[in-house]
Order: sequence, then C-alpha cells, then structure tokens
Amino acid sequence: MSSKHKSSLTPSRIALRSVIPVLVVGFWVLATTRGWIDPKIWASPSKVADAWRQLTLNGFLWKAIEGSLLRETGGFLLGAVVGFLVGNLLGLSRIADWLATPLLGFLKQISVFAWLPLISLFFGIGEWSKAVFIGISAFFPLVTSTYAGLHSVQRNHAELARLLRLSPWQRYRKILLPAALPAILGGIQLGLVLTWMATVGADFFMSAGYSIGGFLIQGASSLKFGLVIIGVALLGIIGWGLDFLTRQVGGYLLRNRPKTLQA
Amino acid sequence: MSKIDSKRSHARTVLAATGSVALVVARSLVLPAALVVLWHFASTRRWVNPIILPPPEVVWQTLQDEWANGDLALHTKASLVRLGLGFLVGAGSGLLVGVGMGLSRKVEDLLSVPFQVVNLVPTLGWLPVLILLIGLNEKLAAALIGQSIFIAVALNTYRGIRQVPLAQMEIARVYKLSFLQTLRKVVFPAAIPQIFTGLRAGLANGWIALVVVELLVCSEGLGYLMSQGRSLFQLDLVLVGILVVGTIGWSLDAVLVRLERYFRRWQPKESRLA
Repeated sequence: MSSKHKSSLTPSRIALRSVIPVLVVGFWVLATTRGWIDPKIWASPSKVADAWRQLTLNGFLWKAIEGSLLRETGGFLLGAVVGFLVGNLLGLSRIADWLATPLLGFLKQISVFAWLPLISLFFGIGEWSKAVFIGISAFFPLVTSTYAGLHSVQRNHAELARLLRLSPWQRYRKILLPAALPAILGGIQLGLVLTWMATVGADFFMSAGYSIGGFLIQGASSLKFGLVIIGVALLGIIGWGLDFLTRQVGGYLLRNRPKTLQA
Repeated sequence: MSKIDSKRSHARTVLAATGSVALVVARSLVLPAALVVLWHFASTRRWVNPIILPPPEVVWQTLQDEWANGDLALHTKASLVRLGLGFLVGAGSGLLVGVGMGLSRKVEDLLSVPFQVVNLVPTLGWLPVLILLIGLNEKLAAALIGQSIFIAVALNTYRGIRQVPLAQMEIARVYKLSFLQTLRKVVFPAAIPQIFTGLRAGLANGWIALVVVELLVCSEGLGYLMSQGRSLFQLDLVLVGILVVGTIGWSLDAVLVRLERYFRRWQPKESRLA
C-alpha cells in the first residue's frame, strides 16, 4: 500500500501469526497421543518423523522426488517450447492470428484433465503420455502470454524500429522479444504452477514408478496419514522452490528495467 | 438534415459492426472446419485406426444419441450442480476471508500462515488429505472444487481491497461513513474489478477440479461419462465429453469476461489485458 504502512513484524504480530499453526499442531499431538482419533489412520508426529527417516534411509524419498521432478521438467519443456513457438506465430502473423486464435481460445477452456482419457488411449500410460499431459498444462499459458506480450509492444517502439530500418530478425530480437519478456515470464510462472499440479495428476491417474503423487495415492488408499502428510509437504516445498527459481531468473533477466510497484 | 445524417451514419456503423461480427465468426470457423475435414478423411481413409480416432460424423451421432436418450443432459446437470455448489462454498468463504484479510491487519496476521500453506500445495495434493478426512463421496467433490475456487477468490479479493487508495479511505473517515457505508461506497467499487478477476480464475480452477473429482470418485457427471468411454474404449463418447466440457468452460468464461470488462470499464485500457 503506502510506505507509512510498511509492514514490520513486531513480536505481537509474530505471535498472532503463530496462533493457528500452534493450535493445529497442538491438536494433532494431543489427539494422536490421547487417542481421540484412530491412531491407525492418523499417525502421530513422532510416527511421521519415523516414516520420514525410513523413506530417506531406503532411498524411496529421493527416487520419488527425482521421478516427479524429471517428469515435471520434461513435460514442462515440451509444452513450453511448443507454446512459445505457437505464441510467436500467432503474435507475429496476422493470418495465423485470424485463423487459429479463436480455436485455441476454445481449446484452452477444456479442463486439462478432460484430455486424460484421450491421451491414455492414444499414448498408453507410459512416460510419453505423461509428458504430453503435463505439456498441455504448460502450452496454453505460454501461448497466451507470448501472444499478449508481443501485442503489448508500444507504438513508438514499433516506429523506432522502422526509423532505424531494422531487419525483421533485428526488430524481433531487439524490440519485440524484450517487450514481450515480462509477459512471457509470467506465463512461465503460471505454467510451472499448472504443470506441477498436472504432474501430481499424472502420478494419480497413470501411476508408474516412484513419484510423490504415488506416495499420496498409496497413503490415501492404505489410510496412512503419515505418507500423505510427507507427500503434501514435498509438493509444497518443491512447488515453492520452482516458483522461487523462476522469480530469480526473471529478476535477473529484467534487472535493467525500471522498477514498478508490483516488482 | 443533420439529424438524418447522424441517423444514417449510426445505421452504417451498426451495419459495419454486424458485418464484422459475421466476418469474425466466419474467420474463426475456417481452421476448425479444415481440421474436421482432415479428421474425416483420416479416419474414413484409414490413415489412422477408426477405433483410435472415430470419424467426426460418428462423434456427432453419439452426441445426438446421448442427448436424445437424456444421458448427456443428466451428466451435464450433475456436473453443473456440483460446480455451482462448490462455487457457492468456495467463492463465499473466499470473499469472507479476502475481505477480512484485506480490511484488518489482525485478521491477515492470524490467517496468513494457514492461507499460505493451503495456497502452496497444488489442489490435487490436498485430495488424499480430503479423502482421509471426508471419504469418497459427494462432499469430497464440493470440498475439492470449493478449495480450488476459494484460493483464487480470497487472494484476489485481498489484493483488490489492499489496492484501495488510502486517500479514499481517509475521505470516508472525514465524512464519518459507517463501516458498512465505507464498504459499500468506497471499498467495493474500487476492489470489484480485482474480485471479478478472482472469480473468473476461481471458476476456471473449479472446472479443472470438477473433472478430476468426477474422473476419480463420482458415478455421474461429464468426467464420469468420459472415464466410462475410456474404459469401454468408446472414443466417440470421450470426444463428446471433451466437446461439452470445452463448450461449457468457454461459455462460463465468456460470461465472466463480459462482467469483468463491465466492472473495469472506467479503468485505462492497458490494465484490461486478461
């Protein structure tokens, strides 16, 4: 808001922030140790810690993280690269824009998971179909953001390009792409959030091998809360990490831009 | 004379506008039509196995059959009711939490940690937790859809309210507006565009979550229809499902885009980028 209200965390505010977490954890400890809830389903904190130790020792945890992350990056790259290219085509060619943008606008509205039955019939349930499924989630944000970014180029910049008699490639490289960059970075950020969700979905619906989603499904079907809570925590931490990385890279790429309020 | 002229020019612009609407519609149908023709030949000439890709006329026939025997209407209605219920729960609680966190630092502090935790994990990640808490039933569907809508609505409402200029709040104080009057006359008018952005994003999220839940647990609904088509190897049914899901998602979004634009009409153009 304004600098007057610049938030500083006073001790009382920190106390207020920790009220609910303390209550939740306290309830969890009490309820599991006092037997208020079924201990077979709702593992106590110490049991969860045990499970964590076991998973790290026998290596399942690392294999699951590795499997999910590989799937995520592979699918994301596939979808993001294709999406970026299509976004450029639509953003630069008026004919392509006329022809294809309405269709893509419709396809975008189809819930990703609606493609699942079709993909699994086309490609089976191997890694390729997972990559395609995850890729779809990255494709649409990249198309939309690249397209919007290229269209956001200011008129005086376009005139400058004409004045300087830039070649089409120079014009693209020096004017259009830099202008589109912030939007594209936003698309990448959104794409990572959506693909991370799709990765979990791929693990759920086409489960194979070690994966974090596999933990979750196994935990839920065998009623083991410990596994579920570890899986949820991993999802949160890795999702946050991916977002953090994108922000850092984005901040670096945009380091020479004037600061705005949102940055 | 001048009146007639202005009338004439008005008629001309209206004509031009309807003409261009028809042109836009025609233009946007070129590529889909070409694809359908390609699809038709691909399956009738056996470039691809028609079991893997049934020809468009079969899909169209299936769509008509499913509509005629009432199944499609039944499943669509089940999905829409589920979405509506989730939307009521999710958007309602999201608005409450967003307004609370936006107006009061204390509420914001109190809820910030749980809110961030819920926000950080993808909606699907919460599914196993909800299964353990609620079980595999209709309430699970409402909870998951509601959760995915809640996040977007709460976050955007909060942001929208925080964007209200301090000067306007001070004016409200100077005029001694009551709390409710301040909300109605100052806070909401300024925050409503952002709130609508949240509702739109929330509805999109809810639509994704709906299909997931229906693929997994429900025994009716469009997701169920598609998973049935998949297990019976009836691709025409799957394609009909995709078509209907797309059409509904597209229409819902189109309505909210119009509303959003309406509420943003006073804003400068560049912030309208959706």
